[in-house]
Amino acid sequence: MEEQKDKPQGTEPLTSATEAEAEPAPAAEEAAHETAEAAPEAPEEAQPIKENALAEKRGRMVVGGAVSVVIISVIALLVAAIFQLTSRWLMVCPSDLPVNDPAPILWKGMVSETVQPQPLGVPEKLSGEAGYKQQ
Amino acid sequence: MLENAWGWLIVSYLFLAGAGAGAFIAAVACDLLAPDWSKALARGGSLVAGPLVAVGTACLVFDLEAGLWEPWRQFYLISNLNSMITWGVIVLSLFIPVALLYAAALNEITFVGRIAKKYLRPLEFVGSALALGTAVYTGILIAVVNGVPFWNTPLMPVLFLASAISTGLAAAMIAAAIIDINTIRTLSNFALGHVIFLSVEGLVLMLLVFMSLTGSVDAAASAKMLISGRLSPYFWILVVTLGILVPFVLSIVEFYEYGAMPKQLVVGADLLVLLGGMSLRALIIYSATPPQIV
Repeated sequence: MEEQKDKPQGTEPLTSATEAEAEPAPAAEEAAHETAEAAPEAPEEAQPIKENALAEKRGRMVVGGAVSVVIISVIALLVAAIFQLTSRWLMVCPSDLPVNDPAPILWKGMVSETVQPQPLGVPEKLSGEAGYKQQ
Repeated sequence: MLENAWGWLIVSYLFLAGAGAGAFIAAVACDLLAPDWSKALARGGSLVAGPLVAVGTACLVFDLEAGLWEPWRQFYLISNLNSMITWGVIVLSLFIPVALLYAAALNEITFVGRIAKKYLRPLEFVGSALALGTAVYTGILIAVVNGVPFWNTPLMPVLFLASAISTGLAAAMIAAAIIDINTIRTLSNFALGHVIFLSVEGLVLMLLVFMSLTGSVDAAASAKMLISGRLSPYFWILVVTLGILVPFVLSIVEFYEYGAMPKQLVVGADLLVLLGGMSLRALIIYSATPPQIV
């Protein structure tokens, strides 16, 4: 916090360890170059190792990006799952059922041991109403 | 169960395309404005941008069943230049290769990346324009639907743009943390971005709800469904609390603590922003169901 206030943020040398390894400083490169000139057989061994290291880091970065994409896609799936599973609990019960609901009477008739006599045909009231409509 | 003409594939497309476009903008902003702070964020953002939009576009294609079973018919998607969808298809089709090329150039992946590195700045400017188009298009796609008054407002693209940048920044930060966990201290600088864009997102969301409440009957019914109806638990818990308020407070703390905050909390705040972003899109889609059917 104090450091942040004291120094301008843009000038802080905050390059990470990976970047420091991946991008060697110019001074270090020059020193390596001088060493290579002094000993001719050294670069033949050092160069492939450096290229492999860079390739490994690039590979790691690509894998890191792919893992991030997978994580973010999983978050999308997770939210979809949360919505789908919990929406069952939030279903609103209907409050406009008819007062004279015939379901309990019908159910009682279905499960009763004694068979109740049921009138056949259309009820007289309904047939009367249908008759008025036809007229 | 939640039912709508637009399902989870469209919701996922809106989220992934927005996050990918936002990640690209975050990567370019980091590379242009603050290259000394953290290259890992620029690298992470560039690496996730293209694949995220590609996965989102795949969801869109899967949703278009005719296009999936008869792919040649997808040519007609670009045949009507008066349609917003045509422009969306063009923007998406251009953005994905540009974003992949930018990732290759910034990270020098393969010989293509080494060649493209010479054109890094043009790639950044062209890619940023396309990313902006992709992020705004996700909102325009919804806003042009005249049949749903809750969606049919100019605030929708603004809300989706703010959410896209916020979720994109979160995606880039998560990728940066995965690439190099030591870089997490430098991410404190970018917590200010979360503070700004989460504020904008919250403000626009509030405006959208209030304007809908005072608008048409259908828009008011959708807004009521969000704030006090069937979808209100999701809205207040997933979007407002976990998606906006908690990461907002954590980002303020992260910015002032400057690297002293535990890594789990830094990454946790970013994961919550992503959770909130996906939930926001789902709620906007599902709250548009006509009230009489719900």
